[in-house]
Amino acid sequence: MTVYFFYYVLLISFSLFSYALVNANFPVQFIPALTRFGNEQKALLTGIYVIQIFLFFIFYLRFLSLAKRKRISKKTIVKVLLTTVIILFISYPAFSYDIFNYIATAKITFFYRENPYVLMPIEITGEPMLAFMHAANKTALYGPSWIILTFFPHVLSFNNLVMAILSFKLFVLFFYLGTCYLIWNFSKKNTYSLLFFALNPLVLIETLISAHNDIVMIFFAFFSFYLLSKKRFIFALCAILISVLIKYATIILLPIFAVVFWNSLRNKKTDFPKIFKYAFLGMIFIFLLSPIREEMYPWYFIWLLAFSALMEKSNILSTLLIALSLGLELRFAPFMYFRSWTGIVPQIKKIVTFAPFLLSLITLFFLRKWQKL
Amino acid sequence: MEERNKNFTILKLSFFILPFIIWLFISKSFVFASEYVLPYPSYMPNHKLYKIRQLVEKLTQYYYFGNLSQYKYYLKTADKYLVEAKTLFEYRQYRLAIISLERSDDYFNKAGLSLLSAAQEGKKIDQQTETLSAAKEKHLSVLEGLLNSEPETMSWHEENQPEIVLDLKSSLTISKKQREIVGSLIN
Repeated sequence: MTVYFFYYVLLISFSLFSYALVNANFPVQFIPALTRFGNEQKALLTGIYVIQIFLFFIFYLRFLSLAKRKRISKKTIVKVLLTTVIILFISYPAFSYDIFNYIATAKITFFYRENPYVLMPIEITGEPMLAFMHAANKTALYGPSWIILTFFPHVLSFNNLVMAILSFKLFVLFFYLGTCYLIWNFSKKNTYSLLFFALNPLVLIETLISAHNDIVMIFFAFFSFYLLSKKRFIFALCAILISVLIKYATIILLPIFAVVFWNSLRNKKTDFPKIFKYAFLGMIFIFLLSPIREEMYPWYFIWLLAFSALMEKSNILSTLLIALSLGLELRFAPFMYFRSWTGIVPQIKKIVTFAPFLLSLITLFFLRKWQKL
Repeated sequence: MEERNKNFTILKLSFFILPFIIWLFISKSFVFASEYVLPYPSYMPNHKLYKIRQLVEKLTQYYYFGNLSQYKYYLKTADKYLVEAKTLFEYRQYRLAIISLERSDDYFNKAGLSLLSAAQEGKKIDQQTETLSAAKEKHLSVLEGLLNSEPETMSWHEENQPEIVLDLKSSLTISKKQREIVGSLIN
């Protein structure tokens, strides 16, 4: 019981913490004192962030341990998930500017009625979002299905910025819950599989706080396999195409989808854990290619984590995935301290990303050696 | 035992992919800056792919929905035809040059009209006006150069066709005038 209480306290603390990082040019200053603190006490702020991230992972490991020993009930899981979702929903998307790009792209398409692949936000003179949004000098970065889907949160925003943040977060939140349901379903109600994905701090931060659209892409990928298992072939095909046309990363899943499609057509039983293992390997490949385009962003790791939750994996693989999740979430710390992405920051980012992974790897290696002796 | 070996393989594999990941993390970024520049000439008339180029051009017109997007399309195409006309003038293909020049005029006018429509819809067009003014100046300098270098008229005789006199000066002057009108309309 105490674990849950302190976990909720951490969630509330992290949600509040996010308001310390509100952009100075943002038209609404929600908690000015906190934002001022964030701007003045950069070292302390970074320290608090790092401590909270570590605490998140400690709680995560605790929940996984409870799930492994089957000491967490279905009711408790639902309660924990819903509380997490509600508390993090009210947080400010402090760790990424992508949500503002989603909002701006939707606005260009549905408010200004311009082609977002042709017109950049910066070309809309007098657009208020230009004061604080990043990458305003880029045309739409995402696929057409994402642009079409954003019609719904755009309509709900009533052209108000705060409402837009909430509606986009709500939109992403539904897909998070949908993905959790599908993982629960595919894993045959395995609590460990569900919690491995659903409570991973990287997934929580990048999905429920930063509202990245990766979860929407993953949801449709899972949904396509779910529809295949129900022999809804046309809908399954539509779902996988929607997924691919959100962020293109799931294009690697098309051959796997084709195999499952073919098997389902011939009424052959599909070994889904094996299918998800191949999907996981495919997503690793795409994830490793990401630095060629830009860099290895933490939210890209959601692609791997989602499929890894549904495959049979050793403790070593689970540990390495968790260690890399931790490292990727620490990437924001140097920026928080220096408030710049240049100079020494890229080097520190690389170090903090790989340090937990490398440490886990070395520890596991020596443990293994020691066990052999 | 088998499980242990499997785990050890994962560990070994992880060590193997680690340098690869680190290598992938080394990324560079480039910044480019440019003024208003005209494009290089594309496929010229009489080329096998010229018709295809025109077809693609027509089709992409629908992709550029929205007044400001259309403005970009029209201006880009006007630039393309102006460069085409200039090249044709240089190769003394006067008849084709005039056709290209007329196309460029048409697209330039449409670019201006798109901007006016955008303004009527309440969109701010300051940046686009500035770009169109810069484009106008560039077009005028090209046209001025052609006026100075090309003959005023040219007798043109095509196979199985009667000889015609092409009034190059008048065509170029009209083109110049049109740019000036569009320029004054948007300012």
